[in-house]
Amino acid sequence: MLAISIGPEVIATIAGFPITNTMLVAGVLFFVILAIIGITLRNIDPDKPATGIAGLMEVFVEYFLDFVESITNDRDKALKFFPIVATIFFVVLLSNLVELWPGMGTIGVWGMHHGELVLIPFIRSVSADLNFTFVVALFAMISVQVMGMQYLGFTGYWSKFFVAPWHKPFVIGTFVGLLELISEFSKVLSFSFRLFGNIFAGEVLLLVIGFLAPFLAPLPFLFLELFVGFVQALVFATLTIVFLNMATISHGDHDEEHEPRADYSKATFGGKPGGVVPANGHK
Amino acid sequence: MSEMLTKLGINWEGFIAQLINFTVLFLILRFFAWKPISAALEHRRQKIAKGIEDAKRADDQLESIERERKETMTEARKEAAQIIEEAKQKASGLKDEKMRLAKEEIEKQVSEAKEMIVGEREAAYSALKQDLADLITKATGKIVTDLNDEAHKKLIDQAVKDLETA
Repeated sequence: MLAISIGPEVIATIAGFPITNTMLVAGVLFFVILAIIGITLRNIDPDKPATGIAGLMEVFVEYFLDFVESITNDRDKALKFFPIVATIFFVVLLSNLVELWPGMGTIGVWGMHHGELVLIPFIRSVSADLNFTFVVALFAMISVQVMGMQYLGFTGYWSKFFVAPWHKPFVIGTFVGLLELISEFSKVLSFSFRLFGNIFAGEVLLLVIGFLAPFLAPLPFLFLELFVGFVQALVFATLTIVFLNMATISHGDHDEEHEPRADYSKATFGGKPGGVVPANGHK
Repeated sequence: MSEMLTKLGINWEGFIAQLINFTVLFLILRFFAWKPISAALEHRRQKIAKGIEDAKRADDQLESIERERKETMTEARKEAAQIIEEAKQKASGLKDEKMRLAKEEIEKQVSEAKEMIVGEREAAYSALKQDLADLITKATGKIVTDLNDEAHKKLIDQAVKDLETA
């Protein structure tokens, strides 16, 4: 029978430290990424046309940098945010695509789980582990705070959240500031649960379809999950860019009450930058 | 709370492992992937820009050279035509002059020759006349001995004169 577990399953224990299947896959991915970087660094040559994996990485960097710039509207900011969001996108994308590996959820050892004999698979998407998504979400939101403080200064940044009750919108400003502070924490949760939910659901879907109709039927779902994996990585990275961008924009003078809201609907992926237009004259 | 976390699969071992994994990956990617790749891209971008600029400059240069060459060619052609024209004019002038001179020379020579011929004829004629007169004198003297020289001469001269007028 199918055993579906929300959390990662322990497949071995080394010196009292449990090794889960997601840790195993994360380790494998680590070396896959190292190999990709190694091949890229060996083959990259500015004097020659890009080819192979190095060319693919160049294309990725070029397009993604343009994408970041199309949201931030600022080359320097884009260059500063790029390592953070590119790492998130790259690692999350590879972690998502693990669910397409053959043997996902089916190759494993039989073990006792909650008093039942179930198959404990070796392969499980890293993104289908809340520990991983939580780590990435924390990384993203901590980067947002660090970048915000770098751009606006310590007091400048935190004065967004802690507004004295005797300032212009009076008590309302204080309250809104505290809500914003809470939303910073809730963003971590929404980030981690969104990614986890999508990828875990995809895994379960693929498992169930594979269990019910092993031939041909899983094919469209494999394509669907390929798409979902890409989109979720893109969503994670894009939201991080947007939050980074919002954190590094000052409120301008405090006499004006409106929030700087940019129109992100015109952001382009790989197109020409400069799509985002401030809606109310704020920079 | 902790039971809920356990049910969701969150545990500190997994968290620490993923945290270390992701942090190391971030540092590696940041310094060994994004940095060199974007540096290479920037390098290539500048190189391409420079290449395009160089090509443009070379194009401009080529164009100006071509224009200069054309200008020089037209000028040279014009000059050559002018020189040829001048040469032709000069040649025709020279020819006319030469012709004129030659004609003059010929005319002069012809007239000289004519004069000479006339003179010669005259001389020959007078000599002939003299000779003839002498001859006639001698002949008639032989025939008519009795006629004295004076009268004889007079007669002959008269005859010659008649001959001339005849």
